[in-house]
Amino acid sequence: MVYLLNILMFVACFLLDTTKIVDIISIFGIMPQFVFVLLLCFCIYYSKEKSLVLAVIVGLVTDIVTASPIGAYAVLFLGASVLCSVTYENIIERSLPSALAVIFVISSILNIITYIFQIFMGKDFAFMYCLWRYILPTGVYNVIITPALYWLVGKVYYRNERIF
Amino acid sequence: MWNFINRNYWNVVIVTAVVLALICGISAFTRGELEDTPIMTGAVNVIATPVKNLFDNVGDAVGGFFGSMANAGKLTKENAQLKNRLKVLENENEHLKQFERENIRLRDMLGFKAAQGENKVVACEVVGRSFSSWNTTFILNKGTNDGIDVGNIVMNNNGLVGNITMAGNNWAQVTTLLDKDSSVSAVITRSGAVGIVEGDINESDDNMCLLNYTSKNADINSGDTVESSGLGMVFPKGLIIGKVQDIKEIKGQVNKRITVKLSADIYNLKEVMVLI
Repeated sequence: MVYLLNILMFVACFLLDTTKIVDIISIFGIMPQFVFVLLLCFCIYYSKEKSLVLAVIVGLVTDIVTASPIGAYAVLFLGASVLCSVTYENIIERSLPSALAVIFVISSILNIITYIFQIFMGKDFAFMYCLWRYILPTGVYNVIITPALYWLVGKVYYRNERIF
Repeated sequence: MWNFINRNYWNVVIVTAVVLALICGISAFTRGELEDTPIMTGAVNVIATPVKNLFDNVGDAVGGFFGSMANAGKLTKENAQLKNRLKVLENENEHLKQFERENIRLRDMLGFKAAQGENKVVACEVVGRSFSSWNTTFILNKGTNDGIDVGNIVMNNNGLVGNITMAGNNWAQVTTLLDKDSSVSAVITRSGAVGIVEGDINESDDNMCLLNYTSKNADINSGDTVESSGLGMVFPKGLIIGKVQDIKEIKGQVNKRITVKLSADIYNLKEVMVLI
């Protein structure tokens, strides 16, 4: 049941990310990254081993669904998951404010790496333009959707603890 | 398994990252050589498209509901006006139908063949957007089952939208003219000056592209209509692309920076037509 709930959450986030629903909530073309934020929330609650495996699976599915080079999102999500898990295991305590800060920082790093990846793929984007136009606004938007997803993952996590 | 990963966490991370990076590198470098849609992407989209369709309908309904709530009073008034207007238009429509029938009869008599007579047109709905802000692609709800194939031209009643870059049984991906990877050989209708319309990230937010590779003394003015020239053999000749929005001289460069406002409003497309 817990697994099913987690899978359902990811499926819902995939659909939110890739269907026209996101148009309703996109602001000036900036779209929140539901799947990525959900993954980071998962990393905050669950062990680093489970987060690692999940990050690779979710990354590969994202690559397939979005027709990106296979492994691109997988390796990015893997890095994000490791960073998030290690931060929560060794540096800070689990709380909503810390989650907001960590998700802002990690999503900004992810988008900067995506920018570099785009440059390697032969695209010609001005860094400062992308930073102010996409990278930082996307980070802020991710922070806005974080409380809801953090709460959802927490609900499922504590339900899991009661069962086992 | 969890114990093994726990004991060798960093080794697992490094090995997985290296393997994924290698796969990614190979995948990225071979993408240009693939003519067909990757099998996995095709399979996933075949299953995902009907679900996306459902979510899109929900999205439209949710958006429509909140829009209606916000403008209820205004909409009631507008509704009454529109009903009156509808009656007038129905009368006009009847007249136009008569003219159309007459037109068809006369064309047949003259042996006239409509310009699009050779092409079959498939009407499609836009059911999905690109995953990130970096690309401007979208997914259609029809695919190879309806005769759509990679390379087909996509347009709406206003003008050219892009072309099909991937297709499955019941879905197809459109790369729009706004995408950085998009380019169309174009011609200015008034003067015949030629150039290439290319997507540019700095302009795409405003539904605009750049007209590059024009000659130094090309006769181009703001407001000129830009259409496809057919030179690239990808887009047929004579499809409306947009209008010249702005022309700027750039110091130290031979070519001017010419922006073109696209006729098709790419960000608000709901239905498009695919020429097959």
